[in-house]
Amino acid sequence: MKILIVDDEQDIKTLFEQRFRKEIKSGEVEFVFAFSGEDALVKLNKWEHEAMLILSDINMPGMSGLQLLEEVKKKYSKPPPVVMMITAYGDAENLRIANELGADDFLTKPLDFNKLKEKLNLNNG
Amino acid sequence: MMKQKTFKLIVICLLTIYANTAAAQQSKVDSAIMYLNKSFATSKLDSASFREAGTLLNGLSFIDSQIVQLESALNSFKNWESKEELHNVRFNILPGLINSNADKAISYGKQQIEQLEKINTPEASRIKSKYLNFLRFPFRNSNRLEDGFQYYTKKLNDYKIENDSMCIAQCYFVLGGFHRISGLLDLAIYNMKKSISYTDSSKNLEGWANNVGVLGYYYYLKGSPEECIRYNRIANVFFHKLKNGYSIPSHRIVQAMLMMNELDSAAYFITLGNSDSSTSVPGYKVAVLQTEAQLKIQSGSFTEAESLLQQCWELIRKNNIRVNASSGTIAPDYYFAQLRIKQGRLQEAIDLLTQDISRLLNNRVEILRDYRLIAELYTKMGNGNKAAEAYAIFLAKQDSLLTDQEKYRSINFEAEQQMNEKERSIASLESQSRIASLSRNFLIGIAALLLLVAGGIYQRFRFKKKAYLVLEKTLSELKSTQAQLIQSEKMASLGELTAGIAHEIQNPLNFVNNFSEVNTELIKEIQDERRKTKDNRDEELEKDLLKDISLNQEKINHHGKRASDIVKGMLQHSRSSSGVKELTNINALADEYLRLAYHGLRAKDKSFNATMKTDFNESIGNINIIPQDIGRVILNLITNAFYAVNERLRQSQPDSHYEPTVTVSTKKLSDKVEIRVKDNGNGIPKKVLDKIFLPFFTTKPTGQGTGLGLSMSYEIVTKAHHGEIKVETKEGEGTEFIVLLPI
Repeated sequence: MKILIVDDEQDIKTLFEQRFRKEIKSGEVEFVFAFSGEDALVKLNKWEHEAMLILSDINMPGMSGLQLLEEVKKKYSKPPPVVMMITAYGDAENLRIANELGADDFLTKPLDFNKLKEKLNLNNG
Repeated sequence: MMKQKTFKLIVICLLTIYANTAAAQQSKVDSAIMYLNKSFATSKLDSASFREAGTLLNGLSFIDSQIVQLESALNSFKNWESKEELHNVRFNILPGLINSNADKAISYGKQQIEQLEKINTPEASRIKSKYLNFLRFPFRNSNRLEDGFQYYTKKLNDYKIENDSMCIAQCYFVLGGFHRISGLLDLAIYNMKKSISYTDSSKNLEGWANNVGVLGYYYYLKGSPEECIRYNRIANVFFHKLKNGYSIPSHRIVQAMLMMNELDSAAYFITLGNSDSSTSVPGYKVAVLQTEAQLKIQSGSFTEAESLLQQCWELIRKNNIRVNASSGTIAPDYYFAQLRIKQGRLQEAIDLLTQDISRLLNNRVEILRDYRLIAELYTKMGNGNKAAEAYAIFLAKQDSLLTDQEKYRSINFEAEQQMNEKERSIASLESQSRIASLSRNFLIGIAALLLLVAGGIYQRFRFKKKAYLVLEKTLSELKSTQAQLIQSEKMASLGELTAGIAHEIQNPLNFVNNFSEVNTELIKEIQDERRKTKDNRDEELEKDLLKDISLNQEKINHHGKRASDIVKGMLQHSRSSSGVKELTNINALADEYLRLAYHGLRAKDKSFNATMKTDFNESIGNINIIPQDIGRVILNLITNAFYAVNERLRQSQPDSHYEPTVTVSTKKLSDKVEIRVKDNGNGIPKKVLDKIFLPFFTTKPTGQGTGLGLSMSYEIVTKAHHGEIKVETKEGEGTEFIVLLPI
């Protein structure tokens, strides 16, 4: 499975690579990283024909996560990628908007990686 | 529906039935109410009836019950669309109220002004300035001059914030008049010049010319007839252009000519002034008659003077003209006294002057003039006791006037024009402390004299001491207010930052937690690996794991530091500035505050977004600055930039492809470091550009900006760092602030 992680924090790449080192090694999952909404759209175009899951932060300079979500759901109709939004704790307003825009799932910050793995149907062992 | 003509006929009948005045008044009010009801009867405003109501109401003296009637008639049309027209009718009530009850007029006027302040249109502003203009009369023709000073000073500040130049000009105009009455002629001149500078002669030529003429009048009172003539000649040129209103400037020229004893020229200007149609207005006519009488007295035509002054009093009584009319001080008894002196009837002159003083009320200059004349007359008559009495009053009053004049001596319009506003506020503080020290020295001298002289001088001493104490108190109050304002500005921007900080701090803490958890796992993995037999152990994996652990350790350290820097910054921001310069990485500082500002705004407005660009010159190195102060400057500039782009985004069409962008850049010049904050917002309009660094100036809606941000930034950069802050802006394209700091 290919997962596109969108976040403006560069260190998120190191973190995910370490948190998922086994899964990456075994080929269960492949991560692609984008550090802005605009960057994410470029990468999505590149892998248009592959099934992909998008995991995006909301607060980013430039194109926000919500704008990205809107764009993705509008542009890619068959099959639309699964989009999971990462919202700040207690941020009901963004949660509501993301829901309206058609987000498939939500994760709250700080990320619980075990929960994420569960959601991704990955083997925890 | 009743036809307009028939309706009018009924009203006229009503008006003619009542012959006596009180009843006629009531019938006029009744008719006005009928017209009002009629004008609002259908969905469309019947403007003919409406105007008729206004005309009927103009200039009446009301009794309380009539005011109530009118109020209720007007209130039933509260929701009427054309609010401004309603206000125009309401305004017509004011002159009547002024005639009958000063206190009521003041509270009515204030209330209406408050209502109008809620409507933000040029027309509302125009009606507001009319109220401000008329409301000066009840303040100065009663004992409420002090109230008037307070009210108009406050209003002036309000309108400065709103940038309402028409009302600013009006407030300065009224304050000028108040100062004139108090005898503070320098201040009166200062205020009138301010008023002129705020009056746009292309839109309001009449107001402009009038102000210029009044300015000349103040110079006349100060004893400079040449200046008076100069200014009123200018005013006359413009009033001639308007073909109306030159009687008053002409009559001021006459007064000045009489002061110089140029009787022929004075006579010429009297004729000129009388050819103007505005002479038929009673308030103007009395002023002209008074001056004409003065001319006759000076040229020896006593009979004519007598008859002119009698006409004057008749007009005053008939039209209830107060001492401070729009045409100047109306008190003919002084001229009558002059006449009696020429006729050798000195006791009569003294009686007239005593009467005159009671009419003059607040007018200090004229009261002084009268007392002095009384003292002289008693001396001439050989009545030493009475003369001394009058002279004592004169001295006491002169002393109090001089004290007040001394207090404001430092204010000079011309010099001030060249000073920048910032320096002015400091200069005024300094001059107050100088006055304080002057009066302190004076006190010591007086104290020594006290030992020698008793009684009256003791009184004098007490007065000076009181003045000194008041000044010192004012000075310390001003200082503490300034300190409080700076602190509250800091707290306000801290509030804005909190949300940004919360977000900023959350991310690094997440990394600290995550990487340390990962490390725990990795260490466990190594331990597992080491438990295996030597042959099964994967040495390469162990090496990799160790490398990762060490890398993660660095990350933990980095993000921990990041969080603590943010907390440190926050503490520095809320603390009073230590004022200590330290070597600081200006790029890191700018970057930190850029992020804080961005997230602070994002936290407040979820939909807000903008592209941030940075262009930092890495060769700058560390420079010697007060980091929290320069940080505050950068934060201010960036916050403003974000605000500007957001405003433009809000106003732009959805398909306009406007991309809000804020750019922060640093550059090293030969002996300076340059920090630029650029936005592509709407730009700063020319008319406010010279005000942006003034304290309390803000274009943000009420409650959203303190108006202290840029003024504090200016202070920090220029005073504490001897740097420069400049602005380049183009309307519709954007703004760039440039901070230059010497290395």
